[in-house]
Amino acid sequence: MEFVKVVKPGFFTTVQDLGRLQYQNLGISTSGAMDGLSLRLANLLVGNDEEDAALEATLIGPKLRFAADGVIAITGGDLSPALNGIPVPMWKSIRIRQDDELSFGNCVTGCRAYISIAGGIEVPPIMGSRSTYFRGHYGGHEGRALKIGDEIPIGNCRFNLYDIEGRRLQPGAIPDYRTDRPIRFIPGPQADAFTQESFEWFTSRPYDVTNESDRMGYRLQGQQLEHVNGADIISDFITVGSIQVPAIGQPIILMADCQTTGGYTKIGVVISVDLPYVAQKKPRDQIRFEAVDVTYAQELYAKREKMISGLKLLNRMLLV
Amino acid sequence: MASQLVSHKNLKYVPLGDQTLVVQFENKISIEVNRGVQAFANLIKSRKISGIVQLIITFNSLAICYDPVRISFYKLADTIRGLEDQISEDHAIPSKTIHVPVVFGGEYSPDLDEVSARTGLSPEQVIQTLYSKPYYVYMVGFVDGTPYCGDIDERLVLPRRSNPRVKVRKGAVAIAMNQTSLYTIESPGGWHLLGWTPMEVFNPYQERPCALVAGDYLQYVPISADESERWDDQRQREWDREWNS
Repeated sequence: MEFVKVVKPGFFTTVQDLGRLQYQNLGISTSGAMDGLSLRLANLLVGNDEEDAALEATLIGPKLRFAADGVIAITGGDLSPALNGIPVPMWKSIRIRQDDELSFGNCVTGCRAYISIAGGIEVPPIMGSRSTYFRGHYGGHEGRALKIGDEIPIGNCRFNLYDIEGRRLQPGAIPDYRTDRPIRFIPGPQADAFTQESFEWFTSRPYDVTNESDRMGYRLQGQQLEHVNGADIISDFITVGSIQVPAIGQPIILMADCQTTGGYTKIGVVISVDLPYVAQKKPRDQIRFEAVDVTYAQELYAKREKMISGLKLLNRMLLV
Repeated sequence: MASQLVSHKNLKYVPLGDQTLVVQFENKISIEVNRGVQAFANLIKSRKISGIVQLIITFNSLAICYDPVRISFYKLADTIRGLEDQISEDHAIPSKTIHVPVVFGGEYSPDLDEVSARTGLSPEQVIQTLYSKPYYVYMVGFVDGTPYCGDIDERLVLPRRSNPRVKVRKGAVAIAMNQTSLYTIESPGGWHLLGWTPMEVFNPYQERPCALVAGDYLQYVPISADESERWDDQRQREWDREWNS
């Protein structure tokens, strides 16, 4: 397929891959998919490499027209995808024909959907990644969100389309964004900057996701937290998932487009396997936090990566 | 005999989530502490420890991003702690000095009069004081290659503006606290703007996107408004040949 035409852009649709992981020492935001797990699964379903670029749609999905036959998959939050007006399943690779139109409806669960296309999106990589960093106006499609009339270039698919259509995931591999679950975090590096009481509040009372939440960070509202000795530290490194608490005592979870350094105390960092569940929260949703230790978080991570390795192996077997 | 850096005593090893380990040095901003961070980063790099993805230097800490499938937090912390005693001045990289052309005065220095009034120095004195010496680059962070440099003359030390600007022009040369920096992209900002550079210190499309990295020195060199407005790629190449090679 040469390209996908944007008939309607949706609320905020960008090209994303797994981000710029090698440039944080130069103050470069990683960007990349907010829900990296869904992006990886979308890619693997259509035979792409997991780090290929796909579309990330937010709250209201786009309307896209395909220039040729191909295979696509839709994962992440359920924004009610439909092909030529007929609802299509998510988490499954779907055959599409030239001039087919993919559209979206209501936001049912989560808020970010990923649309992968066999062959991947072939915008030029900037600093090793095709992710859009819209604050810096670089990466993705012309450094911005999609607009009406855009033609998004698609790479060559390595497979026969009939080999990759109709593929689905094991039920256990599909993340469940519907069931309420705590967001787990590893305390620190400045968890001791908070009063003991505040740390207990943080882990026992729910926080609301406010309207001031985007790809850069989620501002939360709930029980005000108190610092022992002020909220400011000498600026140091911050990573996606860091939970900063400035002097007003309300937490901010930093997300994919966050800056690389910051001067506020961090009460903890969301564990890798729970970041997708944060990324699928939208304003007025609630978050409950639960502290875990680093060893447990790394065991969960290893388990998840093992599952993904299995899917990658299946793709390699298709190539034989 | 390699000289020992005293700044690496009592290091703390803490997790920043499940994929980053932070080595915390002494809790202060000083060139000596920062050179200790630099030295440790270079020492770790030279050991090519399996699983390390990236090292990030900040004022007084070293962040180590790693793949937890290949190495656990505790294994990595043990491995790195085992190198502590070998940190020496020899590992602090030889720093280069990057000369940055800056136009001062008039529209290029919107906060000059205020800084002059608050410091009691004349506008000329403020500018001369700023470009009179090179500044150490403690770290490159925040967004898009923003360098944090210091320490500026103590007579110029002021808190950030109480009312930050919504939009600061790319290339603005600024001071706040005991630091100086450059706005590498147009962004909001609360620092005092004293000059403007036509030099692109950050360009995402180049193989080396940032002109400055942690451990370098930054030296401002005054140029005329005329020259700054005529600045182009060719002039930049000539400038780099003359000053930055």
